Amino acid sequence: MRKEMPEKTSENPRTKKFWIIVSILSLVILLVVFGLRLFSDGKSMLEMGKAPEDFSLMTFSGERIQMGDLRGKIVLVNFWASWCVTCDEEAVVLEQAWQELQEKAPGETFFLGIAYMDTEPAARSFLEEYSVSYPNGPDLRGEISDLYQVQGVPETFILDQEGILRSIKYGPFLSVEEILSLINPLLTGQGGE
Amino acid sequence: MKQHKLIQIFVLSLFVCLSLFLPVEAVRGQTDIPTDDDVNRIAKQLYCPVCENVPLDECTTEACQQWRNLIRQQLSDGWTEDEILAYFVAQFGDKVLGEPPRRGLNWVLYLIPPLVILTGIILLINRLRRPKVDSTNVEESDPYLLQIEQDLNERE
Repeated sequence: MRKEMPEKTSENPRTKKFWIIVSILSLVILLVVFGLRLFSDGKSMLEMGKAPEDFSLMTFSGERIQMGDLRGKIVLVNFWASWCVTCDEEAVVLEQAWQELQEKAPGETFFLGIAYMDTEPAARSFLEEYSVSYPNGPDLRGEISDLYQVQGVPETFILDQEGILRSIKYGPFLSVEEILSLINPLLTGQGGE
Repeated sequence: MKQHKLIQIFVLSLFVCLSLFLPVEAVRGQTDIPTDDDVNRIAKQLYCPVCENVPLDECTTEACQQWRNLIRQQLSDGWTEDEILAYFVAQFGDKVLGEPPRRGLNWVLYLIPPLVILTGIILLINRLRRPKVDSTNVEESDPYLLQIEQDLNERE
């Protein structure tokens, strides 16, 4: 006579299955959440020869500037900060280049300064001290510097008349000539690839 | 005459009261100047904008000095702690906060650690509640072996 063997209870297959499902589900949820977070930024990579995403900036003087509206002009976007050691010398050089370009090719270029991680009082006094006359504004919530993937200051981006990124300068411009050497070819239509 | 004396006493006591209040007001005025501790209480909730993982109260960069000066100014102007933190978030984004705000996907950061700990506790309790198997006396505790032994004995 065959006896019924007792059920083995030390490893319950149902419990094991439950925990496997829970683990897989947790992993999937985590991946979905982080994936959503990654793609919710929706920011494209900054690439030379391509147009960076559009942005708008409220300047310290209360003027709203939309990058998209500047098509047809060569745009120099300079990220700076009042606490930055090399930004003061660069501010002088940039202002000189701005003045020179205003005389040489009026309306064909546009300089835009963006105060990076700077307090408004300090930024304003910096602009006053170095008599910067081109438009400047704060990078609220760091959104523009994120868009341009700014690593530090000063950093400068030059966009051509089509809004395409043509050059990036990490660190300060040391002379007016250095700035003009990047802008002049674009003015004569020789800067494109 | 009596009435005149009463007025004199009233005026005198009024002066005494006023003289008691004046120094108090002066001291109160002095305490309105925020101390380093007041500034650092808020600064430690913020992170340096330019260096990695350095709280604002410990940071020695020029940028952090400016931020602390601004906090001091805002405190002097009567801003509350929440107002100052909200200002910095509006200006520089959530990334300046030492603690991510409890909203949206940030909740994942707050929920995952307790969930992991809870799961660990449940697993541990489950493991502890299982009957302990004595490896030296498996034959006695394992019902399979007991059954086999019993069957073999019956055959003999």
